[in-house]
Amino acid sequence: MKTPSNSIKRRFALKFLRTLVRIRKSTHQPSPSQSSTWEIRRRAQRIKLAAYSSMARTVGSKRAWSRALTMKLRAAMGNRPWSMIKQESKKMTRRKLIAKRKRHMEKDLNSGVQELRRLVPGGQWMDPLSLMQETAHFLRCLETQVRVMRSIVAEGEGFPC
Amino acid sequence: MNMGLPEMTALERQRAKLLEWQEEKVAALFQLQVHGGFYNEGGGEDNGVSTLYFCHGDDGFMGLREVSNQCNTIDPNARIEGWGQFGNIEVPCLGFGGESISRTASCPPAAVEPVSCGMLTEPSEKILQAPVRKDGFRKRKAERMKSTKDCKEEEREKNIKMYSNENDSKLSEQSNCNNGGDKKGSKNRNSTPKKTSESNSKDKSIVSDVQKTDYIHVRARRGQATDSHSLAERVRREKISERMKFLQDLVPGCNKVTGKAGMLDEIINYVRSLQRQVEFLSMKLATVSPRLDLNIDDLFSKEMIPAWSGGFPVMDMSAELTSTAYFQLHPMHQAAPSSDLEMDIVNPNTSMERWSSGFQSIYSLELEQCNPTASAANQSLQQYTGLTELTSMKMEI
Repeated sequence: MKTPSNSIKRRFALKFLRTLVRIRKSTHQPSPSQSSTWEIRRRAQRIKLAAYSSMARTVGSKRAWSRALTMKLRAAMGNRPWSMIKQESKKMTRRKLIAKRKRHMEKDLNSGVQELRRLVPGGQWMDPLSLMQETAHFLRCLETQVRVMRSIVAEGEGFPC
Repeated sequence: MNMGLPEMTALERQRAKLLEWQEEKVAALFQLQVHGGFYNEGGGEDNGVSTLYFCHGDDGFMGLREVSNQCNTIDPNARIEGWGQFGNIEVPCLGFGGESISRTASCPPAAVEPVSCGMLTEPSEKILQAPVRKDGFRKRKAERMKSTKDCKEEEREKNIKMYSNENDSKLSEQSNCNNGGDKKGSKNRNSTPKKTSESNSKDKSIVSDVQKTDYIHVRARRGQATDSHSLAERVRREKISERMKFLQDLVPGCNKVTGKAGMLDEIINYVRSLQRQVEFLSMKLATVSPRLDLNIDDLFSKEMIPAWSGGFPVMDMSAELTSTAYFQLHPMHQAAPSSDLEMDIVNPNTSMERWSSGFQSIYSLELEQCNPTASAANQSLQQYTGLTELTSMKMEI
C-alpha cells in the first residue's frame, strides 16, 4: 500500500502547494503584517476548501466520496445547492435516489451508521457495505492530508522572520 | 483417448469445450430446476459433498459431464491433479442429470483433502433454492453492480482473506456438511461470463480467482437455516464484519474496542478528529503563510518531493503525532469543544497555544520513548515553541 499512498501524498502536496501560493498571491495585496482575525479566518477557510478540493481532485472520480465532495465544494462556491442530487441523478432517477436514501435511513436506525453517513461526503446515498469501503479510503486520504499540511506548517515555521 | 492422458491435454480438451458450454449454459441455467434429489444422490455415495467448482472468466466453465468423464477415466492420482488444474471452476449444478452429479460428487472428496493448494472451494459455496429465482436475479444484479465498483486492491485482498478463511474452516467441515443441511435443494447463483464485467481469463490460483469473484458461494452451515434470505444476510454480515476489521486496522487504538457499535463510534471520532485537525492546520497555515516567501515555497515543492518518497523525520513524527494527538487531545476537546470550532477573536490564539502546549507535551513523551527520532523531535519542539512566541507577539501587535 505504500506506493499508492505515496503517490497520493505527492500529488496532493503538489496541488495543495500550488493553491496555497495562489491564495497567498491573491491576498497579498492588503498589508500582510496587519492581519485582522477576520481576514485570518477567511483565509483559513479558503485554505481548508483548497485542501479538500485538491484532495478530491487528486483522487479524481474513482471514488464515490471524491465525486460527492467535488459536487459539494462546487455548491459551496456558489452553484445551486441541489446540484449534488443532480449529479447523482445521472445514474438513476431522482425519485429512485431519494427512495434509496430513505431506505438507508430506515435501515440504519439500529446501527450507528447514521453519523458516519454525515461525516463521509456522499455517504447518504451509499449502501452500508460500500460506505465502509469509502470510509476506509476517505480516512486514509484524510490522514495524508493532515500529514502534508503539518509538514508544510513545520517547514514554514523553520524560517522565522 | 481418455486413458492415460496427461493432464495438460485433458485440460486443453476441456478448454476447447468451454465455449460451447458457455452458450449452452446460459440457456440451461434459466430452465433447470434443482430438486432435493440432487443432493441425496451425492450423499448416498460418501460425504455427499456436492462438488461444485468455482469458475471464473470467459473460459471458466466446465461441463459437469466433462468433469464426470474425467473422473471416470483418469486414475485417482491424475484426478487429483486434474482437479487441481481446473482451479476453481464454477458449474451450474442445476440438475445436469443425477448420474453425472453423483459421479462428480464421488470422486473429489477423497481426493481433495490431500490437495494442498486448496483450489477446490466446493465447501464454501452457497447453494440457494431454485424457486427463489427472482430474488436470485435481483441479487445477481446487486452483486454485479457491487462488483463493478469493487475494483480496488484492498477489496481483493479482503476477498482473498475471506476466501482462504472460508476454505480453511470449511475443508474441515467437509465431512459434516452433508445432505442433511442442504436437503432443501439448491439454487446456484451463477454468473455467466458475458454478464460479469470483471471476468477475465481463467486462472488457477486462488488469488486471481478471488479477484474476479462476482458471486460468493456460501454453504449453509449445519443447523442453520438454509433460507436464501438468511444465507444472503449471513454473507452480508460477514462482509460487513470483514470491512470493520479492515477499518480497525486503519484507526489506531481500536484493538481494545470490539463490537460493531463501539468500533463505529471509534471510527466516527477518529474521522471527526481528523477533520478538526485539518481545520486547525488550515488556520495555522493562514497565520504562517504570509511570512513564507514565495520562492521558498517553490523550493519546497521541488525539494520536498524526493524527500517525501523517503519520508523525512518530521513527517514520521507527525505520523505518530496524528495517532497520539487523537487520544491526548480528546480530553482537551471535551474541555473546550467550542474553541477551535468557533474561532472567536480571543480564542484562536488561545486555542493554538493550547494545541501547541499539547503538542509539546506529546513531543516530550515521544522524546522519552523513541530515541532515534530525538533530534527531529527537538527540532519540531523548537518550532512549536517558536510558534507560541509568534502568536503571542501577534496578539501584542
